[in-house]
Amino acid sequence: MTVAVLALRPTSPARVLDATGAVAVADAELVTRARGGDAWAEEMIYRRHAPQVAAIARRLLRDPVEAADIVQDTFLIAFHKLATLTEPAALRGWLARIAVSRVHRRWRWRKVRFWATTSSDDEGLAEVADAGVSPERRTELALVDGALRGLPDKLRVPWVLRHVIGYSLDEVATACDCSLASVKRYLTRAEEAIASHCGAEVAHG
Amino acid sequence: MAERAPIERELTPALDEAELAQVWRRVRDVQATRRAVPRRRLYQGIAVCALAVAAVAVVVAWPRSRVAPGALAGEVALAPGAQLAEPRTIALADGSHLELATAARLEVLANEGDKFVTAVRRGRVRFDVRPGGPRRWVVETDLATVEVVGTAFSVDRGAGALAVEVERGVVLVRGERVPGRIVRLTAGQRIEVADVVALAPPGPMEPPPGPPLSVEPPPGPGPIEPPLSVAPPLLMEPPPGPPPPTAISPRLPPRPVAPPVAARVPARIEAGPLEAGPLAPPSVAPPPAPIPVDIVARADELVGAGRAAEAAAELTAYLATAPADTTAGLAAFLLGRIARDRLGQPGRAAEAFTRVLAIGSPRAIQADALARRAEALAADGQAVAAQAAARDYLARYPAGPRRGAMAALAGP
Repeated sequence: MTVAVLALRPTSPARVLDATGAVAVADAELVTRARGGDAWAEEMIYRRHAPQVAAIARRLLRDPVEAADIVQDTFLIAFHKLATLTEPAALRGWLARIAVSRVHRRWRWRKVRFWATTSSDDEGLAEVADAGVSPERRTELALVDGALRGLPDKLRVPWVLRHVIGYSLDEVATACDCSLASVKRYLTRAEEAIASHCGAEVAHG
Repeated sequence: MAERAPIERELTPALDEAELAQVWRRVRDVQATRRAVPRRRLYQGIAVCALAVAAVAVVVAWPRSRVAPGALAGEVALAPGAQLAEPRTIALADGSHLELATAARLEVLANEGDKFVTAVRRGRVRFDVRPGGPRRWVVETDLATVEVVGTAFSVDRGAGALAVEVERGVVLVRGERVPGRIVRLTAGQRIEVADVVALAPPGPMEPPPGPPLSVEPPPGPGPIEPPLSVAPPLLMEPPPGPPPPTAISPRLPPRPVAPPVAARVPARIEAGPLEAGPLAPPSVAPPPAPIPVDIVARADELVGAGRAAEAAAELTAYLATAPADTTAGLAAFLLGRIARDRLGQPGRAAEAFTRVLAIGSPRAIQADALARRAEALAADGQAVAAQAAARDYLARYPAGPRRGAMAALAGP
């Protein structure tokens, strides 16, 4: 659908080919157009990146309603501050950084709210697994999920971005607003903690 | 660090197309509002808002007031604690509607700017929630919780069962008796969650015809989410330590009187056209028949209440006459765990896990049962048998999660 729309629009020389071979507009060009007030470019940015932002929000917050709120906030902030984006080609990581910061803010709200009210039972990875996922894999996801719940945010966020969402190390570093070396260190520590948790669970039976 | 496929590929989409489109409309609306308001008007607006907040704060602090700031207004009072009863249609200020059928009873639990929580005590209530509103709608029942974004659906708390039907949009149904504890229903889908039923006192149990603990797929095409597999609590890996405090224990009857026992009854999900026309009075569902998986649920509850020996005795009695089916596999697995972890009887545990392997069902616990059998044999002093079992595990599941422990047992 996006490709069909794009084909009707005038494009600049900065073009990329998508998986189907059709011409798609690069992020950098969309950013340039959106900065100039092109509503179509804003919508294209949303269509292209909203699913990833939604995935970040939902897998971290474990709540579809709050995830929708995060997606809305992220794109409102992004379009408002698009002029401050120094590297338009890095739009994906920049959006992820905004989303992660909004997730952190939501967690702070939750701590205050849960102090005054009861906590909600949030969804785990196994619960949102696709229909085709085997029971064994579902059990593994539940095990990993249990480990993730015990991780501090500093370790959990990079691990989720890297291994659940599938971001590159550079994108994780951008999203977490830290250096590549720090990301690698956090991921290693998270891996160790998860392996330890899973091992303990298995050993305990 | 080894590369691996993102887990996201195995999960349902974080937000579907309709939800993303709805968010995009909200983004556009907010942007349009911002662009339409000149800066001078913005400052005036801020001043007005500040005054409004102050006024609301006064209202909140007023001792007689029970209405929260931003509360949803309607044709009738919707303050928390308000009871709404049969049969009527109530129009709300945001464009949403509530339709109560005959004998229906609805209670408002919370009514605030960001949430509207109600409880359907009995009967059928149809909710037509205006999409894109600022409030999170939650409908509580004694069997499940329904979360809504913007949709039309009905909740029918009849005698013996809860039914949720979705006409438009998407709802999430959460609850202990819901398959996988959460189900996402889309337009045309319906879930029925059966009530707690009373069973005969413990004794030899005759399995009724039909597969136990199953959820019927929809008659039409299209997947039902999430995948419909349910396991009793102890069969999934619990965290180490004593069982968490739950509402299970109080449900257990005092000994020695043999009382009715709470049974776990499967939920039913159906897809297909919903009934049109006026709301019918609450349907009375026939009480579900007892199913053999009750023995597992009962044993699980006994363990949670600290009566592991009784649980083991009941499982053993059940397994003496049980057919080699999935329920028997679950029962044997649970018996093995109780014997090993709670009673310190590794020999009995090894026998139970051997039974699980002989039954071969459910498939998902076979690897775990094999590993546990090896450990139980080792704990029972049967070193050679334990070594053989561990090697069997490594041969069958070379990448299994217990391979480390099994390699240690198997020796060089």
